[in-house]
Amino acid sequence: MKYTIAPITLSLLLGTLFANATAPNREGMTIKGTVTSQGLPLKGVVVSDGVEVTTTDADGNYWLPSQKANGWVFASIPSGYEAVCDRSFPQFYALTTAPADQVEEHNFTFTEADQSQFKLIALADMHLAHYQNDLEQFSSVFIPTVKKLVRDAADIPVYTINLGDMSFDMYWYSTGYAIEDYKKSIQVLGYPTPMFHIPGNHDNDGAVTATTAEETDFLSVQRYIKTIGPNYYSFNIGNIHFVMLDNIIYKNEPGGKKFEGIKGARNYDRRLTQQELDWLKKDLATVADKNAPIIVGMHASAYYYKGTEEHKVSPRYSSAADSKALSDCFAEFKNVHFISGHTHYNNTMYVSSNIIEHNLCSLRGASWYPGSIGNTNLCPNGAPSGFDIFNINEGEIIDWKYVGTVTGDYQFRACDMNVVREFYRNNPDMQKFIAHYPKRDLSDVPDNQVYLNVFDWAPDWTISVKENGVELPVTHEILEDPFYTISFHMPITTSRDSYPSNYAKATVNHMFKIQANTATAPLDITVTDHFGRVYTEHMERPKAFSTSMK
Amino acid sequence: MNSKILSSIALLFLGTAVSIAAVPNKKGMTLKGNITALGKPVKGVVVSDGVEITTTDSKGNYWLPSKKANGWVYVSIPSGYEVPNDRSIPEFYALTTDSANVVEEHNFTLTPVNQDKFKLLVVSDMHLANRRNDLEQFSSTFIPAIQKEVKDAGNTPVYTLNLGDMSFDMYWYSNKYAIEQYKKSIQVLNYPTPMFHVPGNHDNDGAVTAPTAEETDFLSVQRYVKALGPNYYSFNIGKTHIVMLDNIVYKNEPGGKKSEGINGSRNYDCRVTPQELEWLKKDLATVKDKTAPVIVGMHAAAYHYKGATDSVISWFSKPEYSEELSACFSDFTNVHFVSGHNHYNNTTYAKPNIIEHNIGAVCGVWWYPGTQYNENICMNGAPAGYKVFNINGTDMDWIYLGTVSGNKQFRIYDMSSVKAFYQRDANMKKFIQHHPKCDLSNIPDNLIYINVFDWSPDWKISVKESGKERPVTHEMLIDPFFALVYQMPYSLESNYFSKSYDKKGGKMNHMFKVQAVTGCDPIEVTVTDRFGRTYTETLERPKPLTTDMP
Repeated sequence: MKYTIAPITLSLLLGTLFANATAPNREGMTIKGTVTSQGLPLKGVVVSDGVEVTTTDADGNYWLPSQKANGWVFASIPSGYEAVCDRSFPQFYALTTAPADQVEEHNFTFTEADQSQFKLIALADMHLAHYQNDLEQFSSVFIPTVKKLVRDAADIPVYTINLGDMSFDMYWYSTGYAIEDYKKSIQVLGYPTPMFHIPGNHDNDGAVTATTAEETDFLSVQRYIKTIGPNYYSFNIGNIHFVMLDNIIYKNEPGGKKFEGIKGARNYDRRLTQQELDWLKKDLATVADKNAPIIVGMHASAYYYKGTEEHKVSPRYSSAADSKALSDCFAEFKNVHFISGHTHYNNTMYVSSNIIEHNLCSLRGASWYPGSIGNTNLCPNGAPSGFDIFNINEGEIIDWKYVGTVTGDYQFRACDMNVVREFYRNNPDMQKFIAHYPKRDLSDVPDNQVYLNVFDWAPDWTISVKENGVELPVTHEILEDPFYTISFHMPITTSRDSYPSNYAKATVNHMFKIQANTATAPLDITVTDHFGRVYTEHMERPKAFSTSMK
Repeated sequence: MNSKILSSIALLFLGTAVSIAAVPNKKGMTLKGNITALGKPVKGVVVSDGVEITTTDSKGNYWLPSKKANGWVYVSIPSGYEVPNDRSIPEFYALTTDSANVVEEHNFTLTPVNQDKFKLLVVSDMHLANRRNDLEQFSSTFIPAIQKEVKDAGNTPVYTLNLGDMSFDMYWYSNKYAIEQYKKSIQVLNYPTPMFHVPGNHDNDGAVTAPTAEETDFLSVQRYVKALGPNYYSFNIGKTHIVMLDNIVYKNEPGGKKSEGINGSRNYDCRVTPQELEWLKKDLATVKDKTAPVIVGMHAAAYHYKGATDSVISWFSKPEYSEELSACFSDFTNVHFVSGHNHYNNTTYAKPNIIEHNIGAVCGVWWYPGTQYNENICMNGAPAGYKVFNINGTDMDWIYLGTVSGNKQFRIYDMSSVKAFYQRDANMKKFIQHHPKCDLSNIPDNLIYINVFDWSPDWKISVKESGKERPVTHEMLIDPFFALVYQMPYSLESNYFSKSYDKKGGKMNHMFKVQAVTGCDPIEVTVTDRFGRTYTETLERPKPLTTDMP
């Protein structure tokens, strides 16, 4: 006990010494400061205002000729260090406080951390809005799950990247739950890891309309920035460089549905601004090892699988050129992972020889509604709502996996379509449902089919199905997942007697169809993922079909 | 599988057969019905409308000459049975649907359960109101704690009594969170046991003002009744008869603080109405074994200890109100009143045959400390929590548990460190300026304070300094941790300085004081509860007063 006093005193003393030795002013430099760890200067730390990028000198000092256009400055946390957290929100940034022509000083301190091994939780689209009992569900289901994950990780540090849509712009004013309330929720809940955020489209302030599109985009993200920090930035964990991008241009043009406090259609483009692209190139230029993994967190996905045809990856930003402009920044890097949300839909895409895009399922699912009536929350692709976990060891991404918040390591769902067909033919609510949505009728599917939804499928996964020991052909098709229908669309429409037109179609691009020879012989299903991990189900038929399936 | 399906079809068939043999009408009888278990009639089951009481005949039929004054009828669930639950809300009642002169039929089904041993959780004062992140706190701490209680119970059935103030009348309208939203929260959270409720004062509708006091009381509880059922009733678990009482007469007279939608001062009397007392006597007359345990759940406490003494005082609005209630139990030898309301643990040996357990609140002091710190705290300095009764036949034991801290029964203070804190801390000094009686900066040296949260007179407290027993005195004292995490920050933040602190200095009645000889020798505290369970802790001094102290 007594021995710990000495180093604390020493570091406090050193801290004081360095705090006194402020970085001197320099001509044209409007933001300056010192980066230290335990009172000692940190050299070579990248610091940026989102336009200019510099690195600290041997004394830990930096200077930026900043026009303070973004209103913030951040230090790109160096490998092997952590930022102090304000109850799960890492403090690696400062908001500017003075006009552009005045010099201001912002110092940063980091603490050393062993990051030779770590876990990364990647999640997106919480959509907390004080609606459909979301806070109760989030707090009682997700929070205990992530706390257990951190407990089970023991000494291995865990970090989280949150890819936006934590809040839900259309409810910011009507339910009184906005981005500030989201932050408070996370802090009160004691979210157990540092969490790095970027804004999604729904984290923009729909009350903002300005004279120019540029101003609207800038002003609508200000409440996010005041609450959580820079809307784009970078940091390092272990020898992995992370880039967090705001790829939403919030336009909020006239029109759209009316919501309290919202002044526009809340529409947006999906791309990086030229300013952000220019910053990104400068930031990436500071990364010496082009072979080390790079993780790029952003809200909207840059790519998607267009249908099942040849697993063709297509650009998904507002224009193909916008997706290419992003990818081109990484041409020199060998091992790039884009991680995105927005679609609420798992897609792991091999974009090019150096880029994999992980488009994540939503933490909420398609809606918090199924969970509010006792059903499983599901994403529009039928996956149980959840998040991805990446394991990193000695600078390499060893593996990744999609994990359901409730269901855990459960990677596919098999539906016995003979039983599903009977349900569609006989259930009164389903009868009502398909009367409104005839294209979603599954009551006439052929005999003895099985549908398989492999949630986080990628083209190198293999699927094998055997009936009485004989391999059956498996076809990759765009199909409806009937479990999604009975868990969400059917109950919400029939209980409210309201049938929105956008439910006319609900198909999934990682569905697999199996034509069995008999109705009752059990099937042995084996799914093997990218890393050779095997998931199996011995499927007895007839297999029950109900909302209490997983 | 097939045989199960067959037998459930057979059950359905029997169910139909029973309901086909409709209960015949009887002259003057306006409520009638039938009670079955597994399709067979159950005889001798008590049924009541809150005024009239009857029991089912050998065919399981009952008739009541009901005026339907309360608008409900319930079955007093017999020993060894459960009723179906609507997602944790037990369905042992029906709301009447017709006028008093029309005969209506209400049937109930029971399921046999082995209740030789069971666990009874008693919870109170949740005060959910969509404020202070209460939903997040409740969902992430209380719900997992109860889930663990159920898991740890294994095959032993677990039930919950909820003693009211689940909601918070003054926020029903302003925060759009009323008793119906409470019910939805519990259901969405899958509260893991059947939960039996009574209304607290804050579960009454403050929008109601009627020409007579009786009408106001009746009308203001109607939203509770519609959402959760009868406001008073009885049931049985194993050998224990449980009576649930509404002991709030809601007056809502003019005046009071203004709050959106509230039309009165939300004031009330604590008593059982004469009508309810009449019913209670009839209900208790149906209980044959007067030596078996009777548990009486109610919101407001009937008895309390006076200060730090063993003398028992009435806590209802008038002493005779407490006496007329306890007189109803004069034939019974083993009666336990369980109550909430005060957010303050007091286990009071009220009468030779009555123990009153006034329990701490689930919300502690209205969720305030939990927005900043790990845990909430009650008005007596106990951790926010609940009481567990383990009942085996007619034997029972009980224990108060903290939601977060679990089985922690006391907190020890090194008052020399506390004194130094009071002398040094700027915020505490500001607080003391307003509340000189709360000052601890001038207390004698080397004192030890111990708060024994659920103390009752048969608990033993032994304190040793360097192995030598020190005398322990029972006094009304300030709990400095309570001052630190609630009184001081809340007063300063809200700029509201409660006069009640000045009167008593915020002193608690189960505090113990020890004069240590030295300022640094370790202090060993051993607390032995009523059941001989011992809890020990060694205090190493100095032990600073901090918000995260154990």
